[in-house]
Amino acid sequence: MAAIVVLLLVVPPACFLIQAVSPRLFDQGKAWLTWSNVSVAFGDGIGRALLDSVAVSLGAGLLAVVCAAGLAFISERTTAPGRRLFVLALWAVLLVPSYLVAVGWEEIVLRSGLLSSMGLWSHTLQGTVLGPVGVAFVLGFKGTPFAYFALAPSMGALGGDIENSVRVHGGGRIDAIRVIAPLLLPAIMSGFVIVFAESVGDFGVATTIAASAHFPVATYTLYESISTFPANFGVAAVVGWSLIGTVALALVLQNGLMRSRSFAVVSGRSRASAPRTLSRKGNGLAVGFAAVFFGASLGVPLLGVVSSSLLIPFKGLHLSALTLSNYRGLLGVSGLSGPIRFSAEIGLVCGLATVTLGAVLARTMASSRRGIGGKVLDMALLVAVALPGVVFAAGYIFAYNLPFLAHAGIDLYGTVPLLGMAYVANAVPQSSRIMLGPFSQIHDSLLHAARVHGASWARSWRSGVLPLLARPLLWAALLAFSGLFLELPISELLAPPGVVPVSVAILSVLGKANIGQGTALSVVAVAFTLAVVGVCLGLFRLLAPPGWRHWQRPPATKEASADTSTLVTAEASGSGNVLQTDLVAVS
Amino acid sequence: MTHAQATQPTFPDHGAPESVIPAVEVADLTKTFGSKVAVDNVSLKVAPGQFVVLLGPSGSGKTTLLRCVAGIDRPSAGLLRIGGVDVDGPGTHLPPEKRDLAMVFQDYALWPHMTAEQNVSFALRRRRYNADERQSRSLLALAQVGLAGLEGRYPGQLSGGEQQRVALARALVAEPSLLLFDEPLSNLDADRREQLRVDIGAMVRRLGAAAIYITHDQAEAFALADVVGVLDRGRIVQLASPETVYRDPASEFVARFTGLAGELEGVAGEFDGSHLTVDVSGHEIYGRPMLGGPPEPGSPVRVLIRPTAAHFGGSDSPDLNGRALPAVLSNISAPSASNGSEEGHIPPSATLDAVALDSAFRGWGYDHVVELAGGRRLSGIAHSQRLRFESRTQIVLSADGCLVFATSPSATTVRL
Repeated sequence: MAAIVVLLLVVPPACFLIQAVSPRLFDQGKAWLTWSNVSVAFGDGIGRALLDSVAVSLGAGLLAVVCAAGLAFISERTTAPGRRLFVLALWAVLLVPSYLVAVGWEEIVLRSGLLSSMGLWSHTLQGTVLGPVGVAFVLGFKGTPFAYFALAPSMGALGGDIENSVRVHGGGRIDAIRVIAPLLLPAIMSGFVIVFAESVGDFGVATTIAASAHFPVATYTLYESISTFPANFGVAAVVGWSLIGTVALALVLQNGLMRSRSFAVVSGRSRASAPRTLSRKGNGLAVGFAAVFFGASLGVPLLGVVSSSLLIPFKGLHLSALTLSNYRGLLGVSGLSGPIRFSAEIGLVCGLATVTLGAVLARTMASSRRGIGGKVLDMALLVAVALPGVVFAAGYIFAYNLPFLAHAGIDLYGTVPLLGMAYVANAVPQSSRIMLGPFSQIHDSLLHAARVHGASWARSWRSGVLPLLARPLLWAALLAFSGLFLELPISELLAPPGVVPVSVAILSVLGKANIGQGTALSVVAVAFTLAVVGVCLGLFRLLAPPGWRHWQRPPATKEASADTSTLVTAEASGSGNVLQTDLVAVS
Repeated sequence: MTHAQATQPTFPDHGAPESVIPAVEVADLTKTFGSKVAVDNVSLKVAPGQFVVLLGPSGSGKTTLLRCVAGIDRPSAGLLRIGGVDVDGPGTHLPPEKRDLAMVFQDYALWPHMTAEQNVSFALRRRRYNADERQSRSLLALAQVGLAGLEGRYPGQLSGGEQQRVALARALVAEPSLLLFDEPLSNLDADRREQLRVDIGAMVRRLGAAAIYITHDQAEAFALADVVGVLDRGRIVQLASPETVYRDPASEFVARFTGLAGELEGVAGEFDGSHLTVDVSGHEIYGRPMLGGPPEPGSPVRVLIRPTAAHFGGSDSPDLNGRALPAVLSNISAPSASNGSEEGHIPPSATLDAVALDSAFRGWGYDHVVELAGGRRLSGIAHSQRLRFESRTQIVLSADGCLVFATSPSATTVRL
């Protein structure tokens, strides 16, 4: 297991990153140790690109935390209508790749876009969206689910006795907020740092809005370094280090802040506060806030993409402007159904491989006796989660193109298996951390009970434990499939000649100014993903035994006591594993 | 029993003939986790049908020992035999499913995706019954633990006590020859704990299986056990009947862990053949010497006082005749011919001045805490009436419940 993790996750990025200072190690230059790549990179404007990345990521982090705090407050502390749909909608935001959100906004504000068809085009709005502000907003929207999943448990756990103790000792509502708000700091910081890290490493917005607005960000600079001829891996590695260093600095700052005092608010004796029933005006505000957020993050981009795929440009918003030619084109001469089939097949195979490997790693990390090896694995996967996909891709290009591998008979460069390996390597860290929560909640005694009552090791897992993990495993598989189906940076850099994954096809068609067909392909791709997710969840609902589906929330009976199963233990959310609790919640 | 004897315990004869194959034999078993020794060279025999309770504080190794017997943990050294079959030893480790045992877990360990009936019938699959028979036996087992009609419920729909009853039914249904209990009552409230304790004792004895039960609750241990093994830091320091453990604890640790009203330090005086005089800062009290014999006159001793040995005395003190002791302790405290006391012999007693500090209503009467001169406190002193706070009274200490241990020569005498 350790060997697989090292080969998949550690060796390729490490080989690539070391080029920043030691190009001779893999025959990329003459010096064993040099800082020339650093000076070249910063001379080429990487400093500016890095500052841009940091600036928009800080903005995205702030926006995401504000949006997430509002949504978490509404869903956890009020009875506002529709709050139960938030988690589902946030998963939709998470599933739609950032480049599609960016393309959707572009299709709204461009001269040929929907606003123009409605006679509402604004140069100012176009300039705002297609610039740093737009980049920060799209990244902030995309990051909001991460911040929400970090904030919501703490928001729900606060209040109760803490709030009551303020009130019975003479404090008013404002005093209660003053006491409670600082206790949310760890969750806020976790959410902020995760969104910041995701934004710094994002490639989808970098290659769409930022690139077309000539607003250089670090990930796109890295991509340009290795996609132009001759590829400059040394400079690209410096950019890679800069990205990693930026994320690491944010994590260190967060840790330093959190260690200075205790923020523990959840204990076995905590009593959650009852949700507040809002007035009509309050309900209106809450629903309005949620509508604005989900409209901007999901509704507007989808509307932009769908309208662009259905409308003939510059013909206004009339029935006569509607056309299905873009969709017919996908099946016709353009042959764009091929990318969907290819991405679906590789997404299925690599998704299953990701979940299998991720489950084994999650079990290893969750084991009560994981030892030092388990802790190292935990740390390695946490670091890998923060590693931008474009760095992974660059690592795979570099490592598997080394001559000595070809001499050793390992000739994977430019093949579909290498693309698959990179997909799995990039998805496994997140998948394993997502499953860490559910695996941590399974007490070893369930396995031991099966063993002492006559079940073999295999049957203990099959009968006693896997049914409890069926939902989280299914969700992790669907998330892995969706992510891989629409994955961009690795597909862009590693797809072999003649093989076109969906994301590459979409951007390629859009790049040829065939906007309608590009957006039509996007619509079909997203619809296909949602259909796969829907069918799988539907089949699970139809075919899985009742106990598999309802064990966490069995139907209440009059005699049933609140004193229920003790196997579920709370896992505090933290950087890098914020999804783990909500994976159970959403399922 | 000395400490040295305790490390190589001799299994007491409780009626099992030598020719009978022990249900469990543990020889020199050691289990380490890194540098930490959890179980240290333990030896133990459990006869068929015998109920052994391992009693000890947290971290004493009792759970680890039980998990080794279950096959969940593999011993680092030593031998383990179940029903005459070697299950652990050099090069041998029989997995849990091959040991023909059942276990009740502290956290119940019910599979939440299975109904109560499915949980119970899971244990029957190794018995090769057909589906109908598995179902009928499962329903019968659930009925026996008082859960008839609840077989279709999931664990999440049952209370804690009901869940533990399902776990008990699961353990009993396959009629294994060995039952293991890992603090099964510790998560229950007092009322349910007592009910289920009675049910466990009755059902296990009806089944005729051997049982190893671990707990840190001495009252639970004394109520259930044929034999109690007291563990301290991974070693069995005493293995004997509950009565012996209470009357003749093998060490101060055992005495403290099985219940004291308080402790006094003094100097050993004369020994009259059954009781020792102890000078506690000028006051004479009487006790029974422990650990093999009376200490030298003039040597420092520590007197550990059982709650049953202390009661109120003097003309102003309330009458004790109406007091009702908890059943377990009252049986143990009664002198009997078997422990050397003669029929009708009244052990000597001493009277000390005291001040009442606290009284707690217990239903049958009141438990008091009193302070002796010098600040030493005695607790758990029962009476049918409440004493007022700081009222003066007298405490009578009966020699049979005052256990005298020799202390090191450097021990200082407490002034009363």
